[in-house]
Amino acid sequence: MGEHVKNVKMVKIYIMGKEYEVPEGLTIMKAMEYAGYRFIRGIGCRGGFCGACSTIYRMKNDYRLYTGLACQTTVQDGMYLVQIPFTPAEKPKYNVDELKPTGTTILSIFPEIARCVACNACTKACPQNLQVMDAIQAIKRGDLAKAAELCFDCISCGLCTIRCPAEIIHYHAFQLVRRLYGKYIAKKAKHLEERVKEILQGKYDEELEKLAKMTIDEWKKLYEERDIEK
Amino acid sequence: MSQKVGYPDYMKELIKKVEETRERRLEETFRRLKPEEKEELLRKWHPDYRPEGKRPLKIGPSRGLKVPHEVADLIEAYPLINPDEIDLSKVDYEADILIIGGGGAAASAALWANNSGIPAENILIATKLRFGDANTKMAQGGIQAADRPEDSPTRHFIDIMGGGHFANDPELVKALVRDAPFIIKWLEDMGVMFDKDEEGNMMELSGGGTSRRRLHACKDYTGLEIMRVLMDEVWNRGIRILEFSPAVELLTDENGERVTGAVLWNLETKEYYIARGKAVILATGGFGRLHIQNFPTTNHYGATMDGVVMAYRVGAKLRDLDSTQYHPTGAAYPEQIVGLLITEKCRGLGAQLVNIDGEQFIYPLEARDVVASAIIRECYGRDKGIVTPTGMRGVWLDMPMIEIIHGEGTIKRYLAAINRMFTRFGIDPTKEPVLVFPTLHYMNGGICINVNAQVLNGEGNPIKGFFAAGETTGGVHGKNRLMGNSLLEVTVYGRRAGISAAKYVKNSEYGKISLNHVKRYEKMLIEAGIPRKRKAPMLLPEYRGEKVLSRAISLFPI
Amino acid sequence: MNGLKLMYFPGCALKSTAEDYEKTAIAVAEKLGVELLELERWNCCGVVFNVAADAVMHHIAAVRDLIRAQEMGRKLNDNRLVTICSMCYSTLKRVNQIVKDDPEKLRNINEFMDEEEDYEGNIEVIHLLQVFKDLVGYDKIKEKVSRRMEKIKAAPFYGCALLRPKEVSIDDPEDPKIMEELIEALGAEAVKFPYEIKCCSSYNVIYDRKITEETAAEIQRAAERWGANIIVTTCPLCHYNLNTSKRKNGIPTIYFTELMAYAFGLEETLSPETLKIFNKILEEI
Repeated sequence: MGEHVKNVKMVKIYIMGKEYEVPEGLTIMKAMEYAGYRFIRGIGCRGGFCGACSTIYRMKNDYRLYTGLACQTTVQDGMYLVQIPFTPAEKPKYNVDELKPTGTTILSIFPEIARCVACNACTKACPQNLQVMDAIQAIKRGDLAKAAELCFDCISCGLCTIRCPAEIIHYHAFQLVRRLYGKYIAKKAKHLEERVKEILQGKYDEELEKLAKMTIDEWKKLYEERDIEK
Repeated sequence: MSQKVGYPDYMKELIKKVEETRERRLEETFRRLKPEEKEELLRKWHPDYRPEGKRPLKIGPSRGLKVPHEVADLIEAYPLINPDEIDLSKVDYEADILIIGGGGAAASAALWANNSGIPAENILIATKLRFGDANTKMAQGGIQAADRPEDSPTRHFIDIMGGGHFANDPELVKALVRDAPFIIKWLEDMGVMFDKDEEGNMMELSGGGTSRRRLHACKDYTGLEIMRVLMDEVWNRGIRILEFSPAVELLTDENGERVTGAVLWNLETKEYYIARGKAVILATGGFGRLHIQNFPTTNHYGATMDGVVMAYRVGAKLRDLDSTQYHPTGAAYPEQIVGLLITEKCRGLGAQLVNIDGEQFIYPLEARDVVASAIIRECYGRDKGIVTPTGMRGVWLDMPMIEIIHGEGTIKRYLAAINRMFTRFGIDPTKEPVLVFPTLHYMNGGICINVNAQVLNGEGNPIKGFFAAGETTGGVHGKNRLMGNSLLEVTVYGRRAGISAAKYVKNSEYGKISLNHVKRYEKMLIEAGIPRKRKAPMLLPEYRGEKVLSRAISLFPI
Repeated sequence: MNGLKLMYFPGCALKSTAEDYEKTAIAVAEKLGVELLELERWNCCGVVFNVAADAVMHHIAAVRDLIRAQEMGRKLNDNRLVTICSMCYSTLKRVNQIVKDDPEKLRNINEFMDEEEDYEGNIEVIHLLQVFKDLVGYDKIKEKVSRRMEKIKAAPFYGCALLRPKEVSIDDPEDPKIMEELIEALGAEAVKFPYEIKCCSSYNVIYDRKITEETAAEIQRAAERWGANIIVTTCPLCHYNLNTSKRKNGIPTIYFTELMAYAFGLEETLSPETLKIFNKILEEI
């Protein structure tokens, strides 16, 4: 990609303690590339969806730890950063077909959740601004629907898990909560079941056969004449 | 915590024009274009139609096929490895089914191979980055399937053919629309949280070019939700996964008639692995990071078309690579997110495309290539685009209309990803329009396959033991993919590849492994006069600063 | 007194294993003119574990709930937080006392929770029993009784959390009367028995279930010997533990609000199992 960086203000950032001058306005990810880092870890979709580029940083004269996604966070002068490209947390194996959609199920697979002291470190760490603690609390009281709603936008970046004093593995627990919700608690779509049955019984086979063998002109005609639902 | 950029003052002024016309526009529907008008619009303004952007391939089974220069540069390129320096006598990895790729198609293939009786430990997924790092995760708006009584697979078929300019392979389309409802049911049973109403009915929306509302969504994180459920299930089953180990070359038997494995390369330790499989499934995705015609892209970091390169060397036929999909609405401001996807669902929910005067200029739900061309025309032909401080041009996508039409809170609820993307930078899409411009999005064409996901050679016959699925294949979408059909393609054809491969391996042994096909290909390159310095596959794009690159030297001996 | 609105803290058990307790509590309170309003957002108080040691980190959960009460209390113009589960009562009241007695500790906690407003120490934690005794009054309760209860001989079981440590006790920790008074106000016979303040063995049910089974059997036997045909409790853990006794025909344990619901004729709030318990008692006499 071309770089059209001319006469742009530069800022000083510290990548794992080492000072670099980079153009203002770049995202952390692009700034690190500008500085010469070629990413293998700590990079994925570059668009804020995959949770690969979790970054922790501090600002000058500020004791607070901040978190963000490297691909979605702009550099600022004095930023002191490190990437956390991986969170050690083996995913437990389970078979959702054999599980019940209850808080007890989640707690039996992730018992650390009972240790939650409501310190809110997870919520503060979340780069998606989710109510992480509230989601864990919802699991604790067996309200999987609420937990699924609160944790839906989770991208499994792992920052909550890294910061949790109770060593809870939030994003793995959340994955199970969502699957149990989607499979057991949300109502099944009856019309979908109907249609699958119809197709298996061959209802559309003849028509589709015919369609597949048509000429381009025949398709064009059908396409132009099709009625479009509002 | 990010710097809240927000709009500069002059853009805030321009937004006032959008606000002035909004009430009137809520009642307006811009008329749809006639086929001839569409043709002309595409011909004059779609980047694909610029003849200087493409050239015909000089060698191989698809010789003569016109493809973008960036694609030709990789196909007409020398291998990264020197075949004579690779020791094939020691096999490092072995599996009944070797899957190359780590996205939705790879995961679906693995699960269905397992469902078809292949034990989990006999399935190996080798992926370039992490398992799940793929374009699948970034898909936002939805997955199509004709499951409402008002809809039918035959309607779906017609929509797809029309959207693809009737260049699609009708057999592939037929299989796609027929499998679609079953795939949705499969996903529902695995626990995917589709948007549903209180009775459990799927909430389905329109997409560009669809004649019925059949897009199933999970807010605007559809791809993420589907991918993470697939990943969870792959992990649960104990299917083997090898991360950060892209394939750099396929292995074939001595005659090159069967694909028997791959040479993998550990990105971190730099060692190569010889992996053999009784069957090999290629699911390596798209080519956004080639930045065709210098467009920014929606794609993930590793989308460098590796699979097409390697398959072509084996003799796979390619199709429709002359057709690149530019998603009409990539973010154009702020600069930090230029190119990122803004789902078509926004237009499906009523957001209109508006020029600098505050007026519509195209029906928002025409097929993607039409809308993309219209936006380019508006910005560069009619000069009615908005110019950002960095010189990027775009038009407005009037997001606040969604709140007005569907109620306050709609964007926060159903377009959470878009909302987050912009509020991070100080722009509130519930109150302000966002700026968009087309962005490189999807590889419409690719490797030729049949309905059993078998890869076809130049004569149209299946190459033994070789399967492919997902964005890396061509034929399903013709010259232009409709929204929601790529999540469908990866799951439908991933499943078909898994099932086909499982069937194939039940009656086969491991084949001999060789790089003879690569040597043959090299000869062709030399004869065609291709410059030696061109190498492929690309593996990862180069984004390091020019200043650093000019002084970077590799000193570590290996 | 009509239309008194009080905020209440449910706690985890009331939302999962003790749903009947919450249902009957809200129903009988409503019948008595008290509207219990759940805190809009709340977290697990941490129960005994969070007060077992002088660990500031562990007090955070309870303080956060007190801040929630502070926020909602402002809207209601009432600083009383009602608890129903006695373990939550004990935990919240104890932590409240700890931070009120130690301003330095409170300052520490407030500074740590920099995303919340400061807790000012003005919330009063009370138990539902106290609401019924002090804010509603036994006369009103007598009024609402709509059936003859004298055949029910209920032994009140206090357990630990309502009475210990004595700084947070709702009554005389050695000789409490509050539950007896309520039982009598309902028209039933209160059976005071020596083990009414014994510990049910608490979380030993997880670590060594036999201890709990034996303790439960002892308590049950004692209550029966003193003439009870039912045991009444305020704590979901006591409720669970007492029902682990494996004695044949041992008397059952219910929540005090279930007794009240039955007395008030609110059968629809009772679970089929609990209704069966009452019917059985009345049959056998």
